[in-house]
Amino acid sequence: MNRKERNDDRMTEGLSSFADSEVSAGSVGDWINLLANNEQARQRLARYRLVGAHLADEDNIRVDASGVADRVRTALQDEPAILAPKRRPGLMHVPRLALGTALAAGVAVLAVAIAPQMVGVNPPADLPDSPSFAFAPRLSVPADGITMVSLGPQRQLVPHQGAIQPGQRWKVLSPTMQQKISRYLLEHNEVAGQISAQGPSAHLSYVSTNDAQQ
Amino acid sequence: MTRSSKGLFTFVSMLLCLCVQARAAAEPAQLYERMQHAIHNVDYEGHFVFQVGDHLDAMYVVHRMQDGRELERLVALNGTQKQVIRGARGVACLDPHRRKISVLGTGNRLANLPAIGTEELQRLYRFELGDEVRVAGRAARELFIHPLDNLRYGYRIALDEQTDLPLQSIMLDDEGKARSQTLFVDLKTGRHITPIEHDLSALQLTEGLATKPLPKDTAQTRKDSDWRFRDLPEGFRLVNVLSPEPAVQHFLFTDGLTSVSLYVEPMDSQGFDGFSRIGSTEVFGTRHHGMQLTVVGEVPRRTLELIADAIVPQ
Repeated sequence: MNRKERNDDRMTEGLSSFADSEVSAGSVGDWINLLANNEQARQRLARYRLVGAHLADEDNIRVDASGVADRVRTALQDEPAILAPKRRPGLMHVPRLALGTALAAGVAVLAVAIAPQMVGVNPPADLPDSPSFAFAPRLSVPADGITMVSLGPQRQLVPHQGAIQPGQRWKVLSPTMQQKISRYLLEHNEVAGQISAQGPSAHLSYVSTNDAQQ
Repeated sequence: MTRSSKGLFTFVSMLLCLCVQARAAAEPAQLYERMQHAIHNVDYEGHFVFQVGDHLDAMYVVHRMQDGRELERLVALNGTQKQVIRGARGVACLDPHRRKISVLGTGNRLANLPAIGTEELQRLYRFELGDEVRVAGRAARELFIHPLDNLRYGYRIALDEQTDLPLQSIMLDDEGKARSQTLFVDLKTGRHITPIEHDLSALQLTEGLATKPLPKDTAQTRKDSDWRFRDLPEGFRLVNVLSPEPAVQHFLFTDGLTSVSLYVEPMDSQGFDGFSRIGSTEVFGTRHHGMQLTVVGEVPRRTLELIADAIVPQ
């Protein structure tokens, strides 16, 4: 691994921690400076946060439409001026409030139609037809083109309520310990799966949603 | 028919019988080898259930070979949408519950591990062919793998007649009871599966985030290891030493059919002592020689303890 790759590693891990609010208080300023001066870091952090938000709660993802607004503004400036058409007498009878309501409804309909595609919650239309597969779950993370401006509050981890069963002592240990053992499990699965596998994937235990056993 | 031709006919018949018997004896173990090959090399996609005790998960998997690399996505379909995505350069594991993405690089896959042949395996396990069965609407053949001691688990596997993939795999404890099982409910193979490489966002995750390579195994690492092992459980051998972090050593043991990892690191106040279970995988934590040991594997707890006890300083 060369120096550039090592620096890249360091930045990636740091940004991941920064996105999860896990960097030390003393280093926050350094990371902010890096983000202020490094476009690549900003893009990477945006992607981490987008992925994290998606994993936590899709409803809390907000899509920044300012880019669209800027492009519309620029386009309007470039367009020739359009003179106001002559007023039609009939239109004068429509109350302004009703007109505003109709416009708002139109915008809302447009937003409902477009927003899911922008945040990528719909599966792509090119899924192959297959009578035996109702769906193949997709990772709904757009590759690029989305800027996220706000997230909802982080979902709080719910403490384990059930009784601790025998043989599950690390349940009471710190989150750091749990993370470490999860990492060990992941590494073990990856290397052991190359030697022998008796099922469709080496990572079944990791993906199993049996959180009560973790 | 003359007497000499009768004799020749009898001789040939006996020879054929011997050949058939020899083939029948070798066939179950060879079937296991073919299954191992299929799991890594066949393109497949399907939904299956994963059962551990009374807990049941529905999962989706798609697996492809592309340019000699395995691509895979494994997704939990109930509960939190945990998933593992293997791209050409890394493995990304997404855990929405903990808002975590764990990433491992796979540039240093363990390509040089010694292959353990079926002859050696048959000193530890007895392979037996079972009935023809039907799983996920496909014809399958049952394969029983019986351990010859209580240091490892047995398996009952239904192998797809067409592809040798395990349509159903049941891990059995020493009393023959199911510890865990996977069971496909539908399966597609070959060129008809969903092309995951078109799921750019999934693969970009592994491309963009895969920065921590799987630790390298080097001769130097082995040589520098501070530890050796004596009285390992029967049939288990050390096949690799990795160093995922400067202070952590990862020893990989296998008996050819199942594997156990031992992590050795300096003891700290957060050490863990005892057993745990994650899915069908057992975890054992203990302290020896002033070090924290964590042993991970799909083997009986006694085996984990024996491996932890086997470590001694150089």
